[in-house]
Amino acid sequence: MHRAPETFLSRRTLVLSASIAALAPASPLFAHAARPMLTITEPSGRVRELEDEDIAALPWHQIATRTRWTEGVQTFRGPLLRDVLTGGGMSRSDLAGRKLLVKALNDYGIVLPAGDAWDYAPILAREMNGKPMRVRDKGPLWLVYPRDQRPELQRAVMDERWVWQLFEITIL
Amino acid sequence: MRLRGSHFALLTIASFVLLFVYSLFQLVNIDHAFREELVERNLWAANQADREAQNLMLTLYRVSLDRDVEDVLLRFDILYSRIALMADRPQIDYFREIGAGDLVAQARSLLEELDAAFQAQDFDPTDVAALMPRVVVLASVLREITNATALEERLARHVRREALLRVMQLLLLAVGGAFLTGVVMAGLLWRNMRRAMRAQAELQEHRAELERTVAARTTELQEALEVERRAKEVYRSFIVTVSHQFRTPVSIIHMIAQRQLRDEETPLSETLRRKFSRILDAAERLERLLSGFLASASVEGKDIALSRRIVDFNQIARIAAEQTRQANPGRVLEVALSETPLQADADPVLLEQAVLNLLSNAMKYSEAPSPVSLETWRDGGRIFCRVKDRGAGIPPGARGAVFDRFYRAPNVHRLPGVGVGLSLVRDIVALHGGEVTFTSRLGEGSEFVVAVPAKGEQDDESAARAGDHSLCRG
Repeated sequence: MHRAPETFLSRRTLVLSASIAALAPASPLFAHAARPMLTITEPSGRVRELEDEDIAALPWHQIATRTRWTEGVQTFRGPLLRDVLTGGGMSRSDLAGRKLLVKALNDYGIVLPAGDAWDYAPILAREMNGKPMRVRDKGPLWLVYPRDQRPELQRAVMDERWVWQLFEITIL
Repeated sequence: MRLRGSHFALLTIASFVLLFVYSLFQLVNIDHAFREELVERNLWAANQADREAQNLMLTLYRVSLDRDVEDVLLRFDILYSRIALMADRPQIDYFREIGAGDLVAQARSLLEELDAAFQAQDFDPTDVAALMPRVVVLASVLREITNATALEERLARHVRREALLRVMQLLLLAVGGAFLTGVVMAGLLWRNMRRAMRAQAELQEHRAELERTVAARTTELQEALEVERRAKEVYRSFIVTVSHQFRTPVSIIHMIAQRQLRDEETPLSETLRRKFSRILDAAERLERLLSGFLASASVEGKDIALSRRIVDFNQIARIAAEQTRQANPGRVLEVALSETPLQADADPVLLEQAVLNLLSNAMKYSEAPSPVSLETWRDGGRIFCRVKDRGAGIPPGARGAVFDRFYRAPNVHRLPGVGVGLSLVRDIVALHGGEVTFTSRLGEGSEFVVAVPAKGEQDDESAARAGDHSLCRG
């Protein structure tokens, strides 16, 4: 279950960063190198930053489904969205009726009901077909719903909630 | 004609239904295409890639200012993911379809070149701006893809809209046509129903009319019958009363005449004896006549229950002949009976009365010394009895009515009688399942033949004749 810690930055980026660091230790590059994998902002204003290890430490679930953007059935693995949301001490009732603003690296954002986390049990997929997803592969995190298992999810409106390159969740 | 009409209607409806199903199928297809959002999706993917290329260019430009290589790499990775998305199935299938497959491949190879440059060992992060020309080429390729996709999207939208419009028209036509046909058929059905109802009503009316007519006729007939019956009853009771009233005085006359004739102590003079003799004869005739009336009245007044038994018709004929001889001492009666006994299942008293009536008629309507003959024989299943006289005969005009009650032929009015004898004979013979026929020649005489079923044949005969029973007696 445990895997080598890996940020959303690729290996060569690390190498690159290292070399840059060696050349210019005071470079502003480092200010961004520590960018967390997932940032969660709670209504109280509290900000939680989850790294790859934090994601890996949560219990993972698997969803095998077709998606709108891929061919054939894909197998996704990652923690449940609800586990990620409640990880900071908020309970289901705290989240009831609230909305989530989910943002992707390319500034794509969508507001979806927090109830989805319990209604459909989507996961924040970290792996697709056994391989960790990089930014290049719609990673590092992809909000995946059990589309094939729940007919009510097989709609264009629901497909819009499949945010990839996800890096920030704001609980509204 | 009607069958062909209904076939035509069915065919019309079926074709409209087929059209409806076809349009629905097309509609579902169009809806499916809408749901797939294949075109929009790919346009979006192309737009995204285009946009990320712009973003990368912007970042590359900015990096020379703030040297944020990290951001460049992130932007590159995002651009990479967008182009990878386009180059992946099923998206690439669409781009190939619209003829942009080569452009995507070109973008992909440019991307790999840039990737290789970023990965190169001698990559100078401070000189990332040097990559700008290649990014510009990539951006222009992506712009081309976007333009092609956008054009394709517009065309597809038009085509889809037109198809939708066409299908809608078809659907409208099918529904409208089916509706109109339905209306026409409903109208026809309604018309037919009204016709049927009208015909039914007419039939009912006709039947009721018929019933009324029948009822009216029946009532009329019943009334007529009732009148007839009452008239007959009046006649009968009149005759019975008169006969009874006459009987006693006639008996007294008879008795006195007899006593005078038999009185030995004071013998009568020849003249008186002859006169008393004639009185006695007349009284006896009157008594017989009255008995005949009463018997006839009783036959007609109520159903006679025949007291049947096996009898020899010859015996009956013999008794009747004997009585006739006694009543008519001066007359010749020739009797020729069958040599074998004539067994019959009959009421001897009634049958004897019938034969007696025929004989007395024969005596009455013929003059001495012409003889009267009586014959009996059997032929097949029937017993025959013939009484023949050589008298005046029955006039042709009267032959149809001789068996009618109280009918008397015009040439016999001077003779005594009231016209019940033959009708009584007919009734009695009919009760036995037989019949009476006669032949007569004016001035030469008459001959009456009674035919009754012999024993053993009777059941069949009587059954066969049961129908005309009442007719004969009426």
